[in-house]
Amino acid sequence: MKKTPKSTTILWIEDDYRQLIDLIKPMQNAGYIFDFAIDEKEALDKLQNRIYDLIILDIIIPEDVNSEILEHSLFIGLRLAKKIIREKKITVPILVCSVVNDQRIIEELNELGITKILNKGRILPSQMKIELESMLED
Amino acid sequence: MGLRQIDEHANLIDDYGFLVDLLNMLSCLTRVAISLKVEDEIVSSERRWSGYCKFIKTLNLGICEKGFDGTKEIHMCDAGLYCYSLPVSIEDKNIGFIALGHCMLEGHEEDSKKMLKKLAESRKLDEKIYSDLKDLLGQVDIIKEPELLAVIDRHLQSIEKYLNLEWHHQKRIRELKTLSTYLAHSFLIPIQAVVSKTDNLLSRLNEMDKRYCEPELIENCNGILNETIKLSYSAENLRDWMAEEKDIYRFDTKEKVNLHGIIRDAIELYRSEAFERGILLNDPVPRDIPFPTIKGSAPHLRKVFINLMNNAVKYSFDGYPGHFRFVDTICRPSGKYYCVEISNLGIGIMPDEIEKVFEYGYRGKMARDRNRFGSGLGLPTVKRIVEKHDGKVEAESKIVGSYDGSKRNPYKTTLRVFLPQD
Repeated sequence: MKKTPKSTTILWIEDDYRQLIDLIKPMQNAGYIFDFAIDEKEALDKLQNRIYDLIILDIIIPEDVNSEILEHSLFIGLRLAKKIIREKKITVPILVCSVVNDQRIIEELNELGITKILNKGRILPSQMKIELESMLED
Repeated sequence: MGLRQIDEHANLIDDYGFLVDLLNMLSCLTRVAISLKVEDEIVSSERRWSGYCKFIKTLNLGICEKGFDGTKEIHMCDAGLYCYSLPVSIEDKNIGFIALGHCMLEGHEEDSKKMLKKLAESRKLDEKIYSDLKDLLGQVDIIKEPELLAVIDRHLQSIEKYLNLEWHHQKRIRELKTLSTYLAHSFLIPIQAVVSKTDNLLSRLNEMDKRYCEPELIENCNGILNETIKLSYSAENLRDWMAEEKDIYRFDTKEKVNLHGIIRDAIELYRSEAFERGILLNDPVPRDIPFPTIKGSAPHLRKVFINLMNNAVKYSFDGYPGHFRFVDTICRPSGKYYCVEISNLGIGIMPDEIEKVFEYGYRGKMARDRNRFGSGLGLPTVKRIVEKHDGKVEAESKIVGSYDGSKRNPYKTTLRVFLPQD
């Protein structure tokens, strides 16, 4: 049975989500439910406790914002994607939304089966809605 | 202490390339073989190294293991070669030692041969190997002791200085790459926030009853959206240039790209800016064949045509009422390529600059006026991306007559992008 927007939950793993919240406004207006994680640790905790219909993933995220030393390393999102797919065996679709355009990272994401990658900077919320809805339909 | 321990992120152990190049250069200057030992790795110049020393190393006989305690004196290693060694420091940390020489000293040749014999006996080498080693030892440079000392006196400090400079250079490049990614992050996040807010506002305005919504509001929103999107491309150009990542555009994964759509998007982005200056951007015209699909990376090809359209508009002379300027986009097959050419009339490129405009940071002589700020990043970015698609870029700029009342002559400038047909 096809899910309605109100029964669809999306996890957005993004440390800057408050600044970027307008990106998902059309989706929220349509009734989709969003949950947020601002670091790798929170994302893994949430994925442990709940089943999501889709994940939006940033690549440059902190490991743990509560740790004494804030490791805001590059590409922790890539490591997280590997954990989600290979270790947790979670099979929900993942959309990567990041400023990273390093071809090696993109290849690694493709190897994980992640092919939908949007470059932050000029994503239109209307375009984002179309992308996400098409992924949810697949 | 090894380099790896000095900076775990440095990966200098993997970057022996620069050290080998450097040692080769220094070896040419000093005319003796040089090796640098870091942890258990030995990096050496190729001078005379490919013979005796390399063979010794292959046999795992442990050359460069004796006497390298930092004392400044000539000594003979187990393999019978004379060297002079000195600890090498980078940022006041001892990373290993450098050894100059790997040679025989004049008058001490017999000592070298005796040492080799001793080595062969102690390691129980078979006759064949011992014989080969003796032959190779005979090919090693023989120099006078004062010459070796003179080399050391003159060059050891310079070598360490060069190593330090090169190390700092490599470190700087790594820092720039990291910085560029963070910079891109700090620019592109707010840019994305403005794009999102504006697009949402535009959607709301479009949904409103037209009686209560002034067209100027929609126009302004579109203007903000377009300008912000252009800013995002400029930020990416800057990031890519700073990253200096040689293989940032490798495009192992290519998709079928609708070229027409990409060119149209680029034109739409600049249409209103151009119109305000009396410049009309003509829609792309396909000649001979309909628009093909091209195999490539859509986001990068988009960047190509955004940059080209940006230049065409920026360097066009303004039109005025009743006398518009035009930017034309013609698309046609050309041998095994599909060619897209974008032409404008305005500030040209001097004949001696046609190649230079594709170099990072170069700005055309005629383009350096106060009203046109160019970063010098656009065309190099275009070239880099197109070449990674196995294509090529050409520029042509010709005077086409006198400009109405102006002292400057207008040039017709055409940029041609050739992409392989699928």
